[in-house]
Amino acid sequence: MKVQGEIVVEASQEEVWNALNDPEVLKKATPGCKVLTETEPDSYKADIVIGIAAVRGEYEAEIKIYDKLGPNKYCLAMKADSNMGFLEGNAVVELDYSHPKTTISYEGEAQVGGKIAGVGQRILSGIAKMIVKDFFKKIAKETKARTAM
Amino acid sequence: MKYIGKAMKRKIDPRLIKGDGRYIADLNIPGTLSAAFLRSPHAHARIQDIDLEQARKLSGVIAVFGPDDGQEFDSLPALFPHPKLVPVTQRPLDSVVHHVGEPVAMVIALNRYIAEDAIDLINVVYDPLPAVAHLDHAIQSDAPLAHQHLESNVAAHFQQSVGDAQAAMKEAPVVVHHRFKIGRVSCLPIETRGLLAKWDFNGPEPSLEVYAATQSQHEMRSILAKLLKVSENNIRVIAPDVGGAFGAKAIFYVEDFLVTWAARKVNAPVRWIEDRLEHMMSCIHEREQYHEASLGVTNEGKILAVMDTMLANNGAYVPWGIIVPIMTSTLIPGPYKVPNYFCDAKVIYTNTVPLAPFRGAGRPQAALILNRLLDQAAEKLGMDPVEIRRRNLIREDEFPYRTGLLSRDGKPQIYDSGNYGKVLSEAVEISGYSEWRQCQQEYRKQGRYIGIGVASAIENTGFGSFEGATVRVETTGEITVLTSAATQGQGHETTFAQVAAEVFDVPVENITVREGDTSLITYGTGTFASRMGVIVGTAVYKASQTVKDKALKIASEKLNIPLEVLEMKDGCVFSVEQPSRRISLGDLAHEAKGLFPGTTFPYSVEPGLEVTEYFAPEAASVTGMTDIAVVEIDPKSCAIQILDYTSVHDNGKLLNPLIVKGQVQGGISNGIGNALYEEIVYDRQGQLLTSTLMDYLVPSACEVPEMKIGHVETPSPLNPLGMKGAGESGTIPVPAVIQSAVEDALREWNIKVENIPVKPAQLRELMRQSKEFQLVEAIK
Repeated sequence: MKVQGEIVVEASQEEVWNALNDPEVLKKATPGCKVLTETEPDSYKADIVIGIAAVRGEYEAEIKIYDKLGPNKYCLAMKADSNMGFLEGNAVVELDYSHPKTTISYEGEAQVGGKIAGVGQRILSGIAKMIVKDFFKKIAKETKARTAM
Repeated sequence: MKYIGKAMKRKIDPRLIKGDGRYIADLNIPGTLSAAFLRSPHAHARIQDIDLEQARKLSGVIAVFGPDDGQEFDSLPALFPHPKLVPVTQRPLDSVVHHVGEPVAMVIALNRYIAEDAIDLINVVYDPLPAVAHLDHAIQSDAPLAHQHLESNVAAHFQQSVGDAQAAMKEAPVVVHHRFKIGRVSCLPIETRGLLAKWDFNGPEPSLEVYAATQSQHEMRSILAKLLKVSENNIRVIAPDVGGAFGAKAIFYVEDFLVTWAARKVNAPVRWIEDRLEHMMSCIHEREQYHEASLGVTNEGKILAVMDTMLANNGAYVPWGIIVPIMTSTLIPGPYKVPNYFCDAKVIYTNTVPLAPFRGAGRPQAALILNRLLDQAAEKLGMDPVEIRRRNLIREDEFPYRTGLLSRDGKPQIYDSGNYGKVLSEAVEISGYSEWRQCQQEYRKQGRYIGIGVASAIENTGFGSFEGATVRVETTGEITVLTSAATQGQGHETTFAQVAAEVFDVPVENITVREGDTSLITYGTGTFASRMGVIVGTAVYKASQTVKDKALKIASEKLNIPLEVLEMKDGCVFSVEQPSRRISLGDLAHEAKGLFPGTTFPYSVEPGLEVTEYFAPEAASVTGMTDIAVVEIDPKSCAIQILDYTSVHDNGKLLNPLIVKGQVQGGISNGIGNALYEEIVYDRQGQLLTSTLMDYLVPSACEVPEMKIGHVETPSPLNPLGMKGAGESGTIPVPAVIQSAVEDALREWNIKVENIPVKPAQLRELMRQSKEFQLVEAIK
């Protein structure tokens, strides 16, 4: 399933870039994230609780940021497992600054398997889009909050 | 005949309707533990690591088994080998999984709740492998392999040929083509799979009793014996009440082995009941095939040649040979005379649930091909679709008819009997075909789009190898019939009683039929291929005849009356000349046991008023059918409504017309599901997207129309009662007739309907494309 979109933040490209690389911001922005720890630079482990359709699960997620071209672009890989199934995703995140705003655009593929795929497929793509959108919205909000400080 | 052919209500219904049925889940054996399975969320993966310890520690868990235990297991036996087939059968608890839903670990616990909780505590690290699910993807040269040890995804590649189709096609004045994309469906019995295994270690040898929702208790016994390395003699398989099967329960599954194996391991009875999610992702599917077919006809509409290229999805394993694509490839000519025929079939492995025979078993696909090609030819020739069919049907005087093909048993395919022309004529008559054609014109003027579809098909029923029956007269005068069949709602207890009642001339109420238990009769094959009525029915008939002869002989010697003047009626044998000189069947049963221990047996027959007979038919008896459907399509929403449905069948001599009607109606309902609603969908990576009945649409009573059902009876010469099968034929012409009717309704748009199921969304898209095309043409 394809996931793509963009969101505009009233902040400089540097500020957005820093937020996108800050574990604290990532934790706050990731929906249902209980714990997020950096295992090595740009690699994180997270415990996430999300309900999709009738299937609520606790996921152990691994998030990796790679192919960094700061402050313009990075790639994001996410893998989450639970006894309800698995989620996997890759995305390219790009920043584009046009005074005074920065546009975050993202484009990627997500693969869902197991019970979540079987039970929730009718609403899955909608939910996936919503979760990703929510993530970037929160990034935008956190960036603004930090910029305001 | 007094009992055979009589419409009688089923004896079993009052008990089942009152909820007194006894299914696997109802069995109450003290100390029974519950099994639950952890199933793979990946379509293809190697299990890198699995941690069972947390699950084992949960209170109430008795045992947890995983891939380490699986190393000692054999793969399931390959049934129905074929020279062109590279068979891969499933290995229980293998360390590589090949479809979503394949069991990875098994928990045995005090109850299912605990077992399911324990499943949640199992941690698996999968190493995902590239997976393939869709036919068009699987045949590409760079497609992932469904099985890493194979060179390609082709499980089998074979041809069927009569005459020289290619040459005849070249010469044909009219040639039409059609493509078919047939979706996959689930068998979906109301009662899911399930079994309960109980070992006895206190007898002379360990023995196993298995209660199973199965169509084939004898086959299950034989496979269990092989896998568990126990003599068949020490295994009893019992199929109690079974709530529908449709093919789902003819297969031997890894769970069947694992539950019996685990029961031995934990030394306690173990039960497993499949839930609906498990059913969708692990119980066999069927139907999925792609075809590209051509038909060449004369200007008069006579068939010259048929050519077909078939791709059949096999799923990940081969549980029942390649019976389905073989059936399709040999039955595309169906009831029509096809002098030149060629079919090239490729059966493809994918990382999906295995496909195996479901009610109809490859025949609905076959019926679709030529009927729909005939539609195209009729349109091209400006001929009525009924007329082009009539011109090509095998005539009544041409039976037995050799098609030139080989049947699935490797013997020449011969249709034993039939009257396809009469079946078609009756369907045309009963449906009011001509009136509907007029109506179609009228409706069109009002802006309503109705279409009429017609399809003729056949079914080869009553395949071997054999079945058996024991018939016994009790000392009460009641008659007991024990058969090798298993019943899942076909009404055997009534029809087989009718057969015995006919022979003995006693009321059906005096006859008890028991089946679904290997302890009742030594050998048996199973309920599939619409074969029980034909084969078990004949075995019951033959055994009853022999018992009757024996009873008459004892009566003759006891009463000192010559055999020729003896008659049997209403439970007595009497002299025709002096009806008061009589003896009851009960007394004869008593006589047959010998009067007192130590006395010399006085009769010239073997003791016991009981006989076992087996019947092995020399070939399949072939049924015929024609369906006519009228549908209306709302051109805005593309909603499809069935306005009228007619089905005329030739199921040979009917044992019980009421039961046959029920079977035909049920089969058509199944067919309507296939034709319009049901479809199992996988994504490209092999994720199952339809694992609940919210996503997998099943027709309810609202979608199933009232039907006009007619019968033509052409007795089969292959058995003494002239019977043919009736369990599956209802399903066979439905996809063809619905697709035909839908295309007819939308003739104005000039679209080709190629998919099964036919869904409003596809129609809308086809209509949109057609309009665009017409617009472009107009501009040109």
